[in-house]
Amino acid sequence: MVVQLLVNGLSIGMIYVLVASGLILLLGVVRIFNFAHGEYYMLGAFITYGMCQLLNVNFFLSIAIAMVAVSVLGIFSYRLIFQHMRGDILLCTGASIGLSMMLQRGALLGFGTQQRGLHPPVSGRLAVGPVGLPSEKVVAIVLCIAIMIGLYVLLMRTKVGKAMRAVKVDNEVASLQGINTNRIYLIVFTMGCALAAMAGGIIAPVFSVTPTMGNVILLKCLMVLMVGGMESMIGGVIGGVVVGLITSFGTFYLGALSEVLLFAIIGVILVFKPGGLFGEAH
Amino acid sequence: MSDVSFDVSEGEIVGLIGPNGAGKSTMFNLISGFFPVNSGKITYAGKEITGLKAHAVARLGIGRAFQAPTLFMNLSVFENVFNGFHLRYQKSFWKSFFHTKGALEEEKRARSSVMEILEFMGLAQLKSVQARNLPHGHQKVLGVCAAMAIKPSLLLLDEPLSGMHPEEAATMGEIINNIRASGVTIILVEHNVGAVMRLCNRIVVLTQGRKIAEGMPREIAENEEVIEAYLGADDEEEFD
Amino acid sequence: MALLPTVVKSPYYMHLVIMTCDNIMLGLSFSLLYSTGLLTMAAGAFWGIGAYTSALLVMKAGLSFWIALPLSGMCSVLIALGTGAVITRIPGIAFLIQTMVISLIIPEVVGYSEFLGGWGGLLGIPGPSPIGPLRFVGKAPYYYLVVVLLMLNVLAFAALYSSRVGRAWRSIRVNAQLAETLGINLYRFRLLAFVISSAAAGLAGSFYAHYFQALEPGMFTAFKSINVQIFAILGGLNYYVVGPAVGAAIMTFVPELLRVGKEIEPVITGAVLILLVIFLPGGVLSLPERLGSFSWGLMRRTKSDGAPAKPGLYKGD
Repeated sequence: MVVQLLVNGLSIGMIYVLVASGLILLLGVVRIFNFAHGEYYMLGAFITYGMCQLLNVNFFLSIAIAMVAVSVLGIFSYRLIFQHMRGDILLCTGASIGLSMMLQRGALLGFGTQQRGLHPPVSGRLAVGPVGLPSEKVVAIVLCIAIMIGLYVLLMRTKVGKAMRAVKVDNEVASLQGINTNRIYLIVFTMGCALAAMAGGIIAPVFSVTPTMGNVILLKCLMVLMVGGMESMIGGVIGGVVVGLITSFGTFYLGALSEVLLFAIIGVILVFKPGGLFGEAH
Repeated sequence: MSDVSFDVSEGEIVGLIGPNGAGKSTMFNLISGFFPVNSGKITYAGKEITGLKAHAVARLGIGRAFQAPTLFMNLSVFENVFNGFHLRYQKSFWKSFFHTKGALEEEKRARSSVMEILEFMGLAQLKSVQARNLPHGHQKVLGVCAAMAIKPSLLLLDEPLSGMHPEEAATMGEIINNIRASGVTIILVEHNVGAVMRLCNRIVVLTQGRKIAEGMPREIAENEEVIEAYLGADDEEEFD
Repeated sequence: MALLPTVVKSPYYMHLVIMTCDNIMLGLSFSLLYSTGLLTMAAGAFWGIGAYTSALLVMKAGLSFWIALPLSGMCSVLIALGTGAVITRIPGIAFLIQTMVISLIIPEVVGYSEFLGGWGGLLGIPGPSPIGPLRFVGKAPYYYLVVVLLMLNVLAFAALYSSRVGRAWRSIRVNAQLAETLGINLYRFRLLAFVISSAAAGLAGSFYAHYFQALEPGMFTAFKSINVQIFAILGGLNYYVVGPAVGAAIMTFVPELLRVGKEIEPVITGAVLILLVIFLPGGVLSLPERLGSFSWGLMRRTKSDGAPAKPGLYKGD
């Protein structure tokens, strides 16, 4: 039982990590906060569902398509909206809330409220020792870990990644060093959207796909940020796993009170480390 | 920073100089409470202030002017200094809230004190100009005004002369002298070594986070280590 | 203004006016925090806390509304102190996110708690008990009550804004580092603003509970807080008093009058919000200035202090 809960917690936790990573990149490098981030996740899930379930496209290809589609949307959103308000929390919040409302309601009107389930690409149970684990969750965990490793390599080893980190530390200095900061901002923003969409696609076979799923994931991501710190990728990973595990175990043992428990735990963490575990206290 | 110790006596002007990256601004940040102190002690007027937060340090009478003009840019010159009177109000908050006669009178007194400061610093003419529209030199003077508003007994001036042309610098030098004459102790960080020589009673030289010399201006000018540090690190300093 | 109920006979329009007043109070509470540089998403949450506290005090503890009102304000203060002590330590986006989490959690807590009425909410909340000759039947008495509350709110806030506290808040907003150097304790002032703002929101909620006489957690989801933010942005963030008033009025009346389908309303609101933020970040009240200087540039980035400033009591300095 514990193993089940553990796998459950890790699978949702890794999803939170993916989505939160997108947000952390946005906050740290582009310096904006996108309320509508959850909606990119939701669209990723829907497109994956549509491709895979309705058009019988291979699952992984569907996710890729979803990523591309949402990335295009992301480029549009950035160019039209966010580009003008980098660094200004108020305007970003306002605009992204507006965007979120439009996307969510649009999805509700367009797709209806019924929940949709995606048949898992790999079904059946995986036997690990004496326990049987739902294979779609294991697939989710493995995929997420792979992506996070890829992200790590990108950020640490590649030229683009180093440019991103430079911009994060000091964008003026970075541009003086010849880095095209505008291009970096666009790239990072798009990456953030792609990560969210990917997470949506990966989770589509595990949980149901609804137009409001963005809300839940956003709340969880915010908690991840509070636990792990707003601009730290490590914080995002640890925060995501922690939140995922607490959610999983908490929901089983405490039912709906798990949210309150989570909130209380975060409160305690914040008392001692106001910026989150890996954040900076000004 | 490592192994830096120095004392400042009342009524002095102490200059803190050193090549770029020596840790001069860091020193100020440590004293005025913007950076946490890992080791060592800072005492002020007999009280230990190590690790106090910035507003507490200000409360004790240590004022600070920043290197980059740090002002309320969208407010007028008058308003900038007026905001600095926060610490001076004696009447309780409730009296202020209810706008009692006492509180209003206090405000009136504060306003005239602001004009005094502005006249002292030569900015009285410009009192209604928005801070962001001031030329750089005036902005720096305004920064010093704001610092003076809290009636400090110690003033930390971070590169007050940087970015100024000679006339502005001369005016600032006069202001600094006048401030000292009015009884305020000053610690001055400056790159303009000539001005430091002229203005300061004593000079402390830092390089790479360490103190390498301390003494009267003449001694410092002849100190070999100091010359070494400057010529080695920073070729642009004029040394007269 | 006192004669309004005699002129407007329709209960529907009176309802809108009363709602507007309640919303103005919420907008004011948002602006108060904004005057110190903090953006909050918790306005709706504290409104809900105030509403529920008051309703429960009257329904379960049998207290009179007139006692429950200040008590629920105090309850909001306590909760705001508790949460504020933790979250006001780091301003900016971290604070915003944390208030967002609060606004998402509170409705859940209330919903899952049977004692607090659960998801079905509280029904049949009694109106205020008669005070003197005034009985609370029909819209008019409620109108007078909310106007009185609103006036008290405005007066209190105006007094705060023109006092040392208000000056300190605005200093923090414009240049926190400088404010600190001038001896202003950033944490204390931010916490104070958070507590006062939450108390005001709570009182507005308390009024609503006894006016509408039914409450459910769905009324103060994050959506409510978002609406409050829209009031302030729409009206003009630099006008701490008039801005929220204008914004609340527009947001309360216009959707009703245009009678758009409830379905599509968020899409339109969302679109309007985006356009507003891009083209008119200073809000409606900044239109005269904008038209005067004729700069419609898409690229015109305004910082958080919005339109160019003029010295003024209720304006962002």
